[in-house]
Amino acid sequence: MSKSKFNEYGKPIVVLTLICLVVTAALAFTYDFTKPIIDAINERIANETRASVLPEGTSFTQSDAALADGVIEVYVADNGAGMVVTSAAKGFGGDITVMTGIDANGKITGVSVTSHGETPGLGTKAMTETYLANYQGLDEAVLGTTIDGVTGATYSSRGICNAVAMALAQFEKMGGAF
Amino acid sequence: MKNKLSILTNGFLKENPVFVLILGTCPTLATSTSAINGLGMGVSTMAVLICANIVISLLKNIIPGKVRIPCYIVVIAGFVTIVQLLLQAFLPEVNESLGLYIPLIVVNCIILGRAEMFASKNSVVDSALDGIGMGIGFTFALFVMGSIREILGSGTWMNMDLTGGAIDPISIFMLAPGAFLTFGCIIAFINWMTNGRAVKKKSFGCEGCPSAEGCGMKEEGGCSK
Repeated sequence: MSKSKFNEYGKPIVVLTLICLVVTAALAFTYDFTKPIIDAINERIANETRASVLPEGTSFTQSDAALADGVIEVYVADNGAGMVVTSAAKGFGGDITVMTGIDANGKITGVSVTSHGETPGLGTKAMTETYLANYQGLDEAVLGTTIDGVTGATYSSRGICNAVAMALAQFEKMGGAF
Repeated sequence: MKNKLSILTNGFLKENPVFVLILGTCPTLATSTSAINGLGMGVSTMAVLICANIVISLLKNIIPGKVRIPCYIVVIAGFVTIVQLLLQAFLPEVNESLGLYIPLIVVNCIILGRAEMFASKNSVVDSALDGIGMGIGFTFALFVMGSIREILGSGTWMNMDLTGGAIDPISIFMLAPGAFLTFGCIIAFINWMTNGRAVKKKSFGCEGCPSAEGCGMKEEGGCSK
């Protein structure tokens, strides 16, 4: 192969491959470096959220009970104060993952959104602490009846409400016994 | 030295990527719902822009013309992912509120545009300065738009309550139409301030085209030929 032919056909391939390799290596390094920090943050946030939606619970154990539709995981408070259910329902921009604290009587003690793809500044209006506090004390989640939606964030409000309803269904399913 | 300074200041007003070149409109409209969001998005984009400009300028003699766009995209995508990982690890709140728009920096035409128009033709120092200048211009634009929309649409600024609930905020400014209204008014204001000098004279040849420098058709006498 002559030199000009190599420059024409070979060089672009070699250069692009090399650039991809270098970038991949840089990414792998950054991923390795940040993964433990990200995992630790997620774990800490999950624990703090569990404690914030069920203030009476101090430590939690993951339950291996059968899960209702849309429910991702169930943590039961070690002191029998209640349970924290993580469930996901469709919002405006994909699934909204919600953590719901339910006390031993089936009343909601707190609701928190842990991950979502809603529009910043719009859908996120349905996730403010003041709005989510409206769920406290409810034992039934029906949008428009037991809880009002947020203007401009209808889909997000509905998604959160559906996820909370799933959590309550999980509580029913476990018969309140844990 | 004066030349270097003008590279740095070009991006701020004269060639402001958002208000004058009208690039990167999608992230501008989407993430400017509050001053903080605008600032976070602007700074993230600036970081990627500076790094990408430096690397592409270093590689400008190695990258063959035929595969330059894929090469630029790989470099830019790499930096965006690194920025996202760093945000997740060290500024989780910012990452949370910007959500989807961080990965979308990859396809932000400001970054690819500067790589193609500036970094691939200029020295490393000039490219870094261009990245800083354009980044500041972008951040400034997002911050101004975010502030206006947040004050009018939520009655707050940087999460501080301004009206104390006395006035009902104009919610439409938080929605897409409000973004367009704000955007249009700011562009009109800048044109009025500069008597239209900021925007290059409207002519249909290469002289009036902001992309002429990076366009292959320039040597051939323009796209109309």
